[in-house]
Amino acid sequence: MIEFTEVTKRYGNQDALRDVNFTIDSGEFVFLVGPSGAGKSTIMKLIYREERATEGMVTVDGIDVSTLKDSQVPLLRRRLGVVFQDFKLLPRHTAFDNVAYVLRALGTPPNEVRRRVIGALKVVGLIDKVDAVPEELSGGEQQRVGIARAIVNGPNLVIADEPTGNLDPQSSEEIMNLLLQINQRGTTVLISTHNLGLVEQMQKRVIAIESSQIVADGVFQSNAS
Amino acid sequence: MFSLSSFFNAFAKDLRIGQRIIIETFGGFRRSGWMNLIILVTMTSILSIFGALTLLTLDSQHLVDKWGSQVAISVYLKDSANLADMEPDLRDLPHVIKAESIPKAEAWQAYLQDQPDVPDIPNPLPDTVRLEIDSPANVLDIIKLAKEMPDVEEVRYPYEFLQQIRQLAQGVSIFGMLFTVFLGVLTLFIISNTLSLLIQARRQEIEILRMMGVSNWYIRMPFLLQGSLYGLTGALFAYTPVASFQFFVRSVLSFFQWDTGGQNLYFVVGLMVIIGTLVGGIGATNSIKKYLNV
Repeated sequence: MIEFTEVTKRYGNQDALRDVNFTIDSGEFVFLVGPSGAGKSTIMKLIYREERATEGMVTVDGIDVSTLKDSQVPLLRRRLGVVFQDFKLLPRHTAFDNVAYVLRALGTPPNEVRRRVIGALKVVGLIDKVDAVPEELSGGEQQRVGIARAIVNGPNLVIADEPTGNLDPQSSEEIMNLLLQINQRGTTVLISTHNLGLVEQMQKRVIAIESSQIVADGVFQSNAS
Repeated sequence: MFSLSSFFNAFAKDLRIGQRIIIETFGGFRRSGWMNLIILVTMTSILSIFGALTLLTLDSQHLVDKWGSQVAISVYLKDSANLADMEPDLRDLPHVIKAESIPKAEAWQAYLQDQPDVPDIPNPLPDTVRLEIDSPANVLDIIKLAKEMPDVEEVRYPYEFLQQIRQLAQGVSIFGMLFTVFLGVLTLFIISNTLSLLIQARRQEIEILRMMGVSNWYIRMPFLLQGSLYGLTGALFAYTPVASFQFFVRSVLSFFQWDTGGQNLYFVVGLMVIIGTLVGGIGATNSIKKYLNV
């Protein structure tokens, strides 16, 4: 699903990533951990082609992202679902409209929009909050709307950049379990996080990055930290 | 293989996207609030000035063309000359297509009829031959040849007056162009800044659209349409002041019995629509390029 081969990303003279290699197979659930500035966000940006690798090759869902033309980037992103730390919900739109917004922009027929949005809101357990605007929702619920929006298009891969960064421990755990459920339906999930407690609890594959390089890759063991 | 239903599905999808773009565009106008008013007033004023100056240029050009094409000159003869002898000589000059004798007695009678208050004085007018020439380009040559004839006193052609009108037309045209460019840059600046504010306010929304794979043109289009619609609406609003200006100019000219002719107003309004829409679109493109990373 995702393959990084000898990837280096440089901003000026500064290496954000150096000779990074890893592969994530279809259907995997993977954490990307590391301190701030280690290169986690750069990896995420290279996957959804917000940035281009300075050297090496990045492949996502069979597409060579490193050489992808700008005009083709939207087509790549339609195959991904992105979850943000700050939710990025439209404040004056209801939960339904937030999830439906992109489908409408893509020209999806109205009955299809309704079917898919209701389906996604059911998956995240917010079917009773369809008409609520973000300020009427808790942080955890807002992130659920963000996740519903990420999965509404039926992506093969969901990437979540610090999805629990703004949440309390209980909501964080609920969000992780929700992402796990989405993974169990066959979607590949990649999560970047600082929250080692949750990572330990989930017992899933972890790619650890430090000073622009991968320093560990494997299933998290409680005595390995 | 081509399938009719897939064609109709794709068409229906494009229509829905078009409908969303229009909704987004009008949402943009709603969000711009009172800035709409400032832009429209500026745009209308600028296009009105542009339209008025263009009309003035075209009308004065029309006068120059009209008078310039009247290739008739008046040859005044000396008192000693014989009109009957001179007329064939003048008619035989190259490029002359017609010669008409106007005896001084006849001219004086006509003058007296026109101006009955003239005191009883001897006829001061000379015998005149009026020559029509095939092309304005040959007028100066004929004047030179006629002046070389011994019995010719003077040759009249409204050359200097035409030159003055021509210079005025050029002056209006150059001033109009410079002024329009200056105002155009001002409009670009205002439209560009308003749309930049709008883009900043919608940054979150745009970010989401980009991340979810909405095409760049879908994101750009509402801003581009909004900018162009400012120009188009400004041009339509400018119709009334420009038409009033034309009415005023025509009234003044018709007072002097000068016909400006032509249907310049429609041409100028068409030009205003095109230029207004382009300037609005360019202003929008400018802010899209600057603030929208798509």
